[in-house]
Amino acid sequence: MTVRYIDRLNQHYRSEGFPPYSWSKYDDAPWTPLTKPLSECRVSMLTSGGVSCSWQAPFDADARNDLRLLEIPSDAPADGFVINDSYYDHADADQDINCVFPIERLRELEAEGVIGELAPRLYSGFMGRIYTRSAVVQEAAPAFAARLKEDRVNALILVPA
Amino acid sequence: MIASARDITESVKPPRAVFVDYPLGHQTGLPGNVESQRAILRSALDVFQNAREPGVIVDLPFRWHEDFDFRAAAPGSSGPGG
Repeated sequence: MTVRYIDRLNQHYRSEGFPPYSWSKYDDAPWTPLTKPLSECRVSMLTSGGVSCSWQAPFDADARNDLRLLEIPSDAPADGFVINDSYYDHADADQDINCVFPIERLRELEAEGVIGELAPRLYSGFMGRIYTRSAVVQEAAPAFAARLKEDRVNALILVPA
Repeated sequence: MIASARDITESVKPPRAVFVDYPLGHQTGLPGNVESQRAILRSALDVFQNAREPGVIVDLPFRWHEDFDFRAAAPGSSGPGG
């Protein structure tokens, strides 16, 4: 039986006195067919796990409505990350970033030709609890999509925290 | 998407998703275990390449070594809102 996060988080938020969280629910999903094989695709990745490079301003571990989007260079050293996020246990990810943001594994897959190439920019953002759905849908998400288009990204790997 | 909260993923319905039944913080594999991480990533990329319709969530076959339950916050922190 997998963990029922919606129920448990609703209970947890209620017990902490927070307003009820309004979960996104969609009846269908957008679809853009893949027009070329993965071995010709440029790939990027997004984590919402409070990940930053050591030289960047860190996330607030208890963030609410933080729509900041960090750009992570795809050649960033794997031992140069920090994680600030009180919403999940990142003790293992602190030791090995690849548990939540498999940047080294992606670099290897690029070298092996499994993916065409890794995009120059990977991303970290949308962390914490976000209540301002309209700001995400109308501003932050379209702005993010625009950056992916600038970088000619064909495929985005999403790793929600 | 590579997700570890299946019910949230079902609700959000991303175009293509795989589910990894590991505790949060391990969606893309075990620490220091390259094979675990590669296997999850390769599976996600296979689904990406081969999916034919949106909204499908593929359950990956990886099992955590012990039972685990919901944890409201990272240990040692007071959690959201203090």
